[in-house]
Amino acid sequence: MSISCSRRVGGSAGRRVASFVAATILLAATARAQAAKPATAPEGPGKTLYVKWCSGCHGDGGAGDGYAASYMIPRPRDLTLGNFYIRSTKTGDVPTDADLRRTITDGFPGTAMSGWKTALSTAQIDTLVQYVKKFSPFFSGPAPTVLAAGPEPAPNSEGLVEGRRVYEQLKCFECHGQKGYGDGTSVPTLMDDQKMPIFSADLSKNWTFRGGPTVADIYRGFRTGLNGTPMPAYTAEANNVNDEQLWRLAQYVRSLAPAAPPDTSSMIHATMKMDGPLPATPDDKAWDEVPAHYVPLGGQVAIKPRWFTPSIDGVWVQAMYDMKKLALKLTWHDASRSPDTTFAPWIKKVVETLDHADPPPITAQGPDRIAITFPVKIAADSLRPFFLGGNSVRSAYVWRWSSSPDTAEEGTTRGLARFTPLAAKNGLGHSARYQDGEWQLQFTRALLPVDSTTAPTFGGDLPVPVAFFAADGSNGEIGMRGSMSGWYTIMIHMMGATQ
Amino acid sequence: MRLASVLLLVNVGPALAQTGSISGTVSLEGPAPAAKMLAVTKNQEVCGTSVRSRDIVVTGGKLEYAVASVEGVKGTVKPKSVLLSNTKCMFEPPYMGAGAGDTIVVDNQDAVLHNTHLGLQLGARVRTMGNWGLSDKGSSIRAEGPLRLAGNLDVGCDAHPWMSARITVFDHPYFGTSDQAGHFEIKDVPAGPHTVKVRHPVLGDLEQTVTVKAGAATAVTFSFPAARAANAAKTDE
Ligand code: HEC
Ligand code: HEC
Repeated sequence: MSISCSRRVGGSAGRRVASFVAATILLAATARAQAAKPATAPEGPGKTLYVKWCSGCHGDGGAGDGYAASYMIPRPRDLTLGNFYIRSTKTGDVPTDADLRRTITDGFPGTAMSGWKTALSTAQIDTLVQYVKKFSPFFSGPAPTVLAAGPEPAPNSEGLVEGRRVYEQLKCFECHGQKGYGDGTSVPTLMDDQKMPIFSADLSKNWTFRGGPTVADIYRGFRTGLNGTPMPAYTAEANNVNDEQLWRLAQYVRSLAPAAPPDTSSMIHATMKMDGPLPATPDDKAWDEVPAHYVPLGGQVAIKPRWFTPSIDGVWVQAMYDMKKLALKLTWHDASRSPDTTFAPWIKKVVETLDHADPPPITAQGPDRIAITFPVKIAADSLRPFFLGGNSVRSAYVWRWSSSPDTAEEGTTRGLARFTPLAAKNGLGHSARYQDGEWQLQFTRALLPVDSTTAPTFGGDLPVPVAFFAADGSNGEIGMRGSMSGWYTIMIHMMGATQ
Repeated sequence: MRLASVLLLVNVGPALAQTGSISGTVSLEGPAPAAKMLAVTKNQEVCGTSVRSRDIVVTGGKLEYAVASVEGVKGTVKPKSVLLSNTKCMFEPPYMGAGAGDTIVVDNQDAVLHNTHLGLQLGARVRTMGNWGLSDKGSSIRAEGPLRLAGNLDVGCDAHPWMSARITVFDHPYFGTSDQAGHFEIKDVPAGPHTVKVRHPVLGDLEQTVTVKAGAATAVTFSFPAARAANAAKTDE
């Protein structure tokens, strides 16, 4: 058996973010379209398709320098280098046709490289596979070596224990973190081949993997390495393990992510706490009983300064209430507890590489932040404010939290950047924890506000609209730079007894 | 029988009879620059708190790890193996020449994860030619692909940002790397006038014309002016 690229399964969350990112980047790119260089795309079948669909990002000459390119990290691939992440071949080798077909068909989740299976026919994709190879002389060199692989052993619990042991033996944690959340100690200095800062993958989100989410995809990923990135190739011989142990590692890594990609519908169901008071901290066991809803986040590109290179791509949200209070718990992965001095090399690289970032320039790290936008009044017919804390026409009610110093406050906003602390305070409580690359943050507030003209009442018959904003201060996310969601709703069922 | 001896004359004869060697010495003028100490930010239990930079290695004025080559002469590389070691959280050697088609062996002599990442310089861009996770002491790989093209390879370790080395790959066999005495030897060079170039990642290049005499060793000396080291130190700050 050889390592093959199976078709990607599932991944609705990934795809949703991916298309969102791609759309916003293309939007931003139109402004720079005038700067496009004269066409130098090679002649041959596929040229028209390439120029129409691909060159805006990959450039007419394939050098990854299309007019939209400088807005993105990761940058579009420079196709002239023959340097590809996803392959079934040896480290340093070019991909096979099948590898390229898969990439163009399914795309890379969470990046501007979307899948083309709906826009293009399989015949068109095949033509593009051959056309893409024209950009690099590496494809006319020796044929790539497809790596051989033994069969996957049947998964079992001892296998997972062994997989964890191999994870430690091979020191995957140095880049991916102890729990796989992408917070390894090597992260602050990781760079891709073109010296762009690059995060390691968050192994708990297999739907974001470029090469696909399955055990076989993961196995292939660390056997081949991702050319152009720090992700190395691991061979059995060089690492004192056998092939079965490498499969165990792949099964273990797969187990770090949920069995199925998370549901990303816009409804968050709150759980009523029947016995005892609401938890005071986000690590309280009571939260284990409450379903977690995944909210994907994309770069904040709605207002200036826009941010095309966010570090936080999603947040898990849980809601719990009793007769008096509502508690929200947010859980998200962030490689640093900002500001973090070990991230000085990272932020330096970010500043150097984002030559087209909107002003003002990034000068230093900020704290990590969360902002949750609500309408001031929850009414059936209410027009929701702008999801980033309202605007000058319609204000919003916001909870905002900052990691350093660890504070939370509620306020009225005319946009997240124009925040006025509430005079009639509702005793917003909060508790934050950071460990192993994960933030857990709980907010608690009374269902009934002190003054219902300045803050919403929770627990009426109507769902509560919420929108989320998150920022990683060590990634240069200060002010409006960060990632955002659109509107979600929290369903609170008061079972008869309300205000 | 007659035919065989003719072939011998044509193919082998001239190579034996009309080649000589170049025996060179590379020095750096002035006092040896103080070696920089590089801060170790990871795996201090194995690597220590700092390591001595080996970007310029000089002993008694003689420069080690300079790569000399004869320019513009075609020849066939006889593939061999070259060794690159991860040792004491540094690469050994920091700079070397290799032939296109050579096999590279990378080993890890430290009880830490090293990942040895070879990037071929292509204009201003870089392309991965190989990147291996070597997770423990004694691990090693052998690979034929990474050195198949002539050019400069940057060698890095993504786990340890202070580690760096370079390999210059030649598409001919006329090159050599200087040893601790600053000495290099290039053998079987066709007799006649040649340009010899000495490369160093920090100090830059030097060139000289030499005339190789058949069956003899031609001596040549290269001397980097002290100012080059001083300038390199300045741009570093
Ligand atoms: C909106 C911008 C955009 C468009 C349009 C686009 N790409 Fe990409 N492409 C990217 C980015 C960004 C990456 C790199 C993603 C990463 O590093 O994870 C990429 C990566 C790739 C790769 C590299 C795969 C690998 O294994 O490394 C190939 C091949 C590719 N694109 C082909 C195409 C083709 C063919 C088209 C046209 C049908 C196309 N792309 C259109 C942005 C784009
Ligand atoms: C030197 C740092 C480093 C080490 C060590 C490392 N990784 Fe990675 N890993 C990365 C980077 C960087 C990425 C790429 C992220 C991206 O695509 O932008 C990555 C990506 C991945 C992916 C996602 C692949 C895909 O299809 O997108 C998986 C799975 C993975 N690594 C598993 C592992 C395992 C298992 C180990 C240990 C055997 C390991 N890594 C060791 C840095 C590292």
